[in-house]
Amino acid sequence: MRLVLDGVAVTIEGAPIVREAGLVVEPGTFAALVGPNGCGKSTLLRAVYRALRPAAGLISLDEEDLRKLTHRETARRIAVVAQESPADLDFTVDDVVLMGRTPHKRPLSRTTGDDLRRCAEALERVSLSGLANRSFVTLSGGEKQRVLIARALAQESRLLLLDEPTNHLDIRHQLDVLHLVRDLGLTTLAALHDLNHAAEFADRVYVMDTGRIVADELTPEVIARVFGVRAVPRTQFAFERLKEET
Amino acid sequence: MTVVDTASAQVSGGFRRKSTFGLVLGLLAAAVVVSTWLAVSIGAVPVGLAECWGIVADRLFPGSVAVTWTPVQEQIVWDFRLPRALLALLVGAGLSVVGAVLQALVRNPLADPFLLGISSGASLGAVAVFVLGASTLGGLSLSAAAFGGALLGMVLVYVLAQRGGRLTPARLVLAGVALHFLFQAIYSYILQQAQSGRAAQQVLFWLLGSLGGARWEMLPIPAVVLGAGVTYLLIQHRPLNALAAGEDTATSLGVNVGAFRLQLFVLTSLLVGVMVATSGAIAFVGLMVPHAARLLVGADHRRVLPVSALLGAAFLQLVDIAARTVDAPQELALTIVTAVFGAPFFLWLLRRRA
Repeated sequence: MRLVLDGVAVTIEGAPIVREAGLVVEPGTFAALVGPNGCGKSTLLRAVYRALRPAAGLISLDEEDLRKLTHRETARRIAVVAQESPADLDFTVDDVVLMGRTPHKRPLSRTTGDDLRRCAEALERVSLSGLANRSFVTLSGGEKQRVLIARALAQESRLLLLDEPTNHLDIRHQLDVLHLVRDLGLTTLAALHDLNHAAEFADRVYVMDTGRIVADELTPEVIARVFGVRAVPRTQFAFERLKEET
Repeated sequence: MTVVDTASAQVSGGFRRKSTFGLVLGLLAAAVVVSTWLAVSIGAVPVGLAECWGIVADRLFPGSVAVTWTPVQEQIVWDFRLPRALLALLVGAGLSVVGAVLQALVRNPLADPFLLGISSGASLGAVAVFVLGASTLGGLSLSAAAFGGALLGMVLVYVLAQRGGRLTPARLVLAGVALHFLFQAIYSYILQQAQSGRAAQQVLFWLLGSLGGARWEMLPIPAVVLGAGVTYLLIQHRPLNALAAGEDTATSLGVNVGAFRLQLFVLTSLLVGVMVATSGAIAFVGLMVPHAARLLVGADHRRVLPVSALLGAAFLQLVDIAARTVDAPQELALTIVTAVFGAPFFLWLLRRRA
C-alpha cells in the first residue's frame, strides 16, 4: 500500500500546526518521521488516520483519495498504534486485541471463531500468547505496546501508523518493538523520537520542522539545522539485542 | 446476549477465557425475581409469599387459583406494591446502564448521572413543568422536560470539563458537582416559590428519589425507553468498547466518534430523563453497579450492559425494600440508602485512582 501526502495543512484552534507537508511511503517500506518536540509529527499522523481533518492538501492510499472513504473503510486500510492507552477501564488483553476486528464487523454480526483465531495469531506474532486473559493495566510498558501492535495486526490493514511507539520503554524494549514492527513487513510510517533508531530501522527518514517536511534523509547538516546539535558518527556503541538465555 | 459459541472456545491457546457469563446472567435473573417477590410480600400489611403469586396469577388468568386472600391484600399487592416493585427494576436497570455508558464515554470510572449533574438537570426540567403548569399534558411532558434538562446537564458538564480537547477526571467531577448544586438550587427555589404546601416533601422527592408514587400507568414509558436503549447499546457494543479505549483509538478502528458520541448523549439523557421523571434523582446506583458488573464479567460491553441492567434492577429493589422497612412506617428517600454503600465506595475509588 502506497501512502502519499501532498501539501497537507492542519490547523488546530486557529493555529497552523502542519503546513504543506508532503511525503511518500512506498509499499512494504518503513518510513520514520522525526523532528523536535512540537514540530507536528503527531498532528500529521492524526490527520492521516482521520482524527483531524486537514485544512488543505491531499492524502491518498494507492491513488485513492482518503476523503472518499468512510471511517470504517479507512480503518480497514490503516491501523494505528497511538500514544493513547486503553487503561481506564479494566480491559483484558484479549478484549483489546479483539477491538482490532471492529472495522470488519457489522453492528449485528457476532464475533466468530475466525475472528478469535486471527486475534490469537496476532497475539502470537508479538509473542504474548500466554497473556490473553491478563488485565491490560497490569502489563509492563513493553508488553502494552506489543498488545497494541497485536490489535493493529488483528485489524489486518496494510498500512501501519505508529506514534512514538518506544516512548517510556527501556532500551531493550525499544529495540524489541522496532525489530518487531520492521519484521512485520507492512507499509509503515512511524513518528520516532530517537534519531539513532530512525537511522537504523527506517528505509527512509522524513525530518519535520515547524509543521513542514524539510528533508527526506538524516545528514549531519540537516540535524544541525533542525535540532541544533552536531551529529557525531557512532563509534562507541552500537546497541544490539543479545539472545535470550533460556 | 449469548456466550461465545463453542466453536470459538476451541480456538488456540484459550484466547477467550471460559466464560461464566451465562451463569452470572442466570443467577442475576433469579435475584431479580426473588427480590421482586420479597418486595411485593413485605410491608405494613404482610402478604404471604404464596398469596403474592396467587394474586398475580388470578389477575393475569382469572379463576386459575383458589382465592386465599382478602380484597384489601389484593388491592395492596396489585395496585401499589407490584407497580412499585416493577418501577424499581426499571429505574435500577436504567440508571446502571447509563452509568456504564457514561463511564465508557468519558473514560472515567467516577462517572455517574447523579454526580455529573445530569440527574439534577432532569429534576430541574421535570420540576419546571410540574410547577409551571404544563402538567396538564400528562406524563409524557414531564418525561420530555426531564429529558431536556438531562441533555442540558450532559452537554454543559462535557463542555466545562474539557481542556484542550481532553477530559480530566478532576475537572469532570468538579464541573458535575457544581452543576448538580446549581440545578438543585434552582428547582428547590421554584418549588418553594410555588407554595404548594407540600413543597418540602416535593423538594425531597426530586432531590433524593422515591418510588412511592408508582402506579401502573407510569410503567410503559420507562419500559419502552429502557428496552430500546439497551437493545441499541448491545448492537453498538463494539464501538462502545473502542470509545472506552480512547477517542483516537475509536477513530482509528473506524468509529465515527462525533456522530456516535452525539447518539450516546441523546440516549443517556433520554434514559436519565424518564427515570428521574418517575422516581426523582437517585445517587450512586449508576456509579457502583457497572463496577460490580465489570468485576463479575470483565470490561467488554457486550457482557457489562446486560449484567449491569439485571444487577441494578435487583439492587434497587433491595434498596427500596430497605427504604420502606428500616424506619417504618416512615419511608426513607432512596439516596439515603444508596449513599450508605455509595459514598464509601466513591471515596475508595477516588483513593485507589490517586
